[in-house]
Amino acid sequence: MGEEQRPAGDSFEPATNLSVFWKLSDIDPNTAIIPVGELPIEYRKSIDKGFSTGWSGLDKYLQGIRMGEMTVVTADTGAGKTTFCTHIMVNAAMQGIPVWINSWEMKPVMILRKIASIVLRRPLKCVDFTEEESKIFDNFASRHKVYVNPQTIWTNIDELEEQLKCAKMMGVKLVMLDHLDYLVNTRKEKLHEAIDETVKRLHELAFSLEMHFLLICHPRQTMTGSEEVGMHSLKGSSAIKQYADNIIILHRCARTDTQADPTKVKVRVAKNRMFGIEGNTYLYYVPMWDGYEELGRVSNG
Amino acid sequence: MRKSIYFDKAKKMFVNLDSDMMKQLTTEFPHVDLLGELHKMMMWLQSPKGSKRRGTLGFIRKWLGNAPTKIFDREIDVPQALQGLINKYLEDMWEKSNALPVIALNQRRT
Repeated sequence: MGEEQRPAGDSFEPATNLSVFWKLSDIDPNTAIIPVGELPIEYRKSIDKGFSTGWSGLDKYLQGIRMGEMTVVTADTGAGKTTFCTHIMVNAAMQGIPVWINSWEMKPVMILRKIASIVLRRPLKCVDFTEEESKIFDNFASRHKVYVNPQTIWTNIDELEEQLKCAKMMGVKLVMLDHLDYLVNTRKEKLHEAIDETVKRLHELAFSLEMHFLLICHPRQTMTGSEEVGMHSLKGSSAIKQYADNIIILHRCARTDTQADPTKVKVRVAKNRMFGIEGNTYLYYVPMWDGYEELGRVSNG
Repeated sequence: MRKSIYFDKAKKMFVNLDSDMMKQLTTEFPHVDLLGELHKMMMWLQSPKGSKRRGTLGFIRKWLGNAPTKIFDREIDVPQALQGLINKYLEDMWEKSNALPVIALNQRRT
């Protein structure tokens, strides 16, 4: 005859100390099941708020760039994704954040010139450096940690993972990846699966390495070439929408509104996982030094 | 009796699409950029794909029904209580990350 059976719940009393329970039983404790009150006390101290994008309007929606997250930046072709992300990298470096720029379609010479243009606020994308400009740029480079990947040949996610681990050891916190298509290598019929896999892996890497990735993604071609890009336009959009912590969509206003200032760019925060606040801010492209300004305001409440 | 609306490919314009009809379409599709979408329609009707279409009122309505809305152009109103928290969060973040000089550098001088 079997023993009298009791409901399983009788074995558990409210607020039972599980460590005592494990000791009384012969079952090994499972480290995946921890009472919330026994999580490290450090978790209750102030959180790492990350750092500013460099524009107060964009900070208002993103509330900063935090470690362990991935931000996808997308826009129609030629709208300024690389320029925008490069400017964020410079803004971060100026705040003392070590950054690493990867662009597999922009030569290192152009990366250097873009950075110099933004730093010196001069048209160094297309003119030679003077001696003075070179000295100022050297001063910037020695005071701020801006690393560049000089390899422009196709890479893959496995190789990138090894490089990211090295970058982590060097203290890099913010990584620009321009762009996703260069990390996805597959035949066309498996493209969506490959994109899913790559984006998922990048998100895991950002999380585990406690870095922030700025991942540039290209949208599908729009019907007329001048429509505003939306989240649905992203190639492999389901994975990108799912795994990205933040999604920023750039749009040159003059492409859909002929009356708009030709330098005005709408920066739409289409996803913000941490705070859920989405909205638009506007920046103005400055062709002289290939960067972005916002209208003067710093929100003080 | 209203005259039928169609797209004249030679004149590159919608014929008989008057202001009354524009007002009506604006009322029927309040969140759509009407002028922008009409411009796109005209471009499409002149393209190889659209060359065989007449660009009638039915075509216009169907297009506008599928057009993206302007709702995402709205700024989100953050509740007042939350706004205070966000401002405090940002101020702490800006000070801690030495962001204020960088933000000032990126502001347009008037």
